[in-house]
Amino acid sequence: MKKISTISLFIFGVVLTSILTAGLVFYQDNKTSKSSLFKAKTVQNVTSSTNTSTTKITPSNKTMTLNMNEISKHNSETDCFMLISGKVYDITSFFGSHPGGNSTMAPTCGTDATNAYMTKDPYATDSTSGRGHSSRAKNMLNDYYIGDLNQTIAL
Amino acid sequence: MNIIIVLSIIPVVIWSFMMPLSLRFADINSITTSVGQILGLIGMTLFSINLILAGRFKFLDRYFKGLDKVYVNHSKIGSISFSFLLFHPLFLVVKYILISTSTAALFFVPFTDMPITWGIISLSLMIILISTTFYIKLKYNIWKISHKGMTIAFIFAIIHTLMISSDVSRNHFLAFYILSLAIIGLLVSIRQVFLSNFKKKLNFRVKNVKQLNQDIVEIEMEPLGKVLSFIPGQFAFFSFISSNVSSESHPFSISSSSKDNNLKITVKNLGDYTSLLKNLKEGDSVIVDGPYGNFSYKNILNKNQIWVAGGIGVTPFFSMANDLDDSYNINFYYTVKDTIEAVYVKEFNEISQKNFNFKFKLWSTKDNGYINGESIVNLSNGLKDKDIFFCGPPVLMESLKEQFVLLGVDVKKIHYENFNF
Repeated sequence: MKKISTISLFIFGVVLTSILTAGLVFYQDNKTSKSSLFKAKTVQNVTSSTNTSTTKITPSNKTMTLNMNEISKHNSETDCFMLISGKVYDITSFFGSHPGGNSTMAPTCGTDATNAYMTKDPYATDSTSGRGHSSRAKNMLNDYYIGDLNQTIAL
Repeated sequence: MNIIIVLSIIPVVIWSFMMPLSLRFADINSITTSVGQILGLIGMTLFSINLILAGRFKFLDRYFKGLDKVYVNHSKIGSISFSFLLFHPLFLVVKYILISTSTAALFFVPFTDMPITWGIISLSLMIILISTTFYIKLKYNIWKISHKGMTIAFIFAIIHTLMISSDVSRNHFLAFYILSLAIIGLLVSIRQVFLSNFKKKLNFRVKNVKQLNQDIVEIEMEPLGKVLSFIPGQFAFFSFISSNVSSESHPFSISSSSKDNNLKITVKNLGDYTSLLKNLKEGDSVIVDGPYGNFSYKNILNKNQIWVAGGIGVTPFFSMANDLDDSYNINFYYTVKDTIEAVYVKEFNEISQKNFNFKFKLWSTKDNGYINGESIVNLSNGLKDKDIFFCGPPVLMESLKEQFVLLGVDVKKIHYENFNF
């Protein structure tokens, strides 16, 4: 029985060390790659105006107004906007990574997903039943933020 | 053992009905998450059960046929539970690895997410305490204190279970099940660790300390209040209040007869603690918790028995032999490395002279080689319809058990005492 514990401890140590090392080494890369395309462009637009941008994406003059009409156009797994508590998120690149599976997110693409997000139930009609997402999930969601409702953003 | 398997599968059954299994095991993401959840549920259940097992309850003593077996199971279940809890985060982190390694690394960093932080604290404490148990040879009394720290790790684990958004928080029945087991475990553990003085214990005082040979000392104690009523072969936990010996409790077989009001234990010097017992003085207080154990000739209906003692494993047999009447047919083999190590030989011979149905044989390994199944068969006129009792070094017991099974003895007829728990 001591053997089982020893082997488990060993595997645990190896996996933990490799994840922490990999996480630290690739931390810089991930900082930018995690952000969605839209966010990168928005940030880029802001930074380019102060002349400190080093990214290669060229600024454009196109804009988009994040109203319900616009959000509802992005209603598929390959192009998915969601409105959550007044903020608009482009979660297209998050498909395939959601712990609950794609099927729990797909029905709310292009809609106000606030209730679904608060309750973890895609068909929820209010935000009080069930339990919401963890603060870890909330932090991750911030990475996909593209703007507030009715805000005009640059493309 | 079966009931423990059932108890740990119940939460998995409840869990499996909460959501269609096709969603639980749809892709790599959901599969690893599901496995991680199952490991957490079973790990937590086993941890709770294990704290209950450590509670020295009489009903466990009966159910497992001896508290010594309870402790053997406690150590097994502890290892399994610990391994499950170690793998619990490893499976859950997979979905974060799929997002990015830095997200995965953050999963293991404390204070980024409070519910997970409690889990991290609990598991880290467990790792430290278990590593000291396994890989550093601590003195028994220090080990005992460090092992009690597992209760604190368990409290953190409960907070983690309560706070984390999971199936436990989404299903009231699952939450009720996991938490009631945990609370029972915690209460038992608190009673065992912090309130041990409130348990029913008997007070004795040391009457006589006698050195039987170079390594073996006999301690006689007289009751200050109630006497201890026990079946010969049982053991108890003794803690001595003395300036010469530390006061934590240790288990010893009772070597005196159950007809005697005074208690005797016979202890071989095996290291730190046992080497100090010879320094006990007349009048030192003793607190006795017991009796425990199922190892006794009286617990078997069959009156044809073979007894085998190895070394200091003689102690329960000395108590049994002193209690015996001639309705029992006993062949008793007492094996020692060298005859000068043997104790109570004169007494055993006297008993066999008075009671012809008690046949005593002292077996010296130095003169006759290791005792084996075949020689016991020959000396006892066969094994047919006989129950066999062993007490001694684990290696001897395992080897003899194997040999007797090969000679056709039913495992149910072999009874032994685990001395090393």
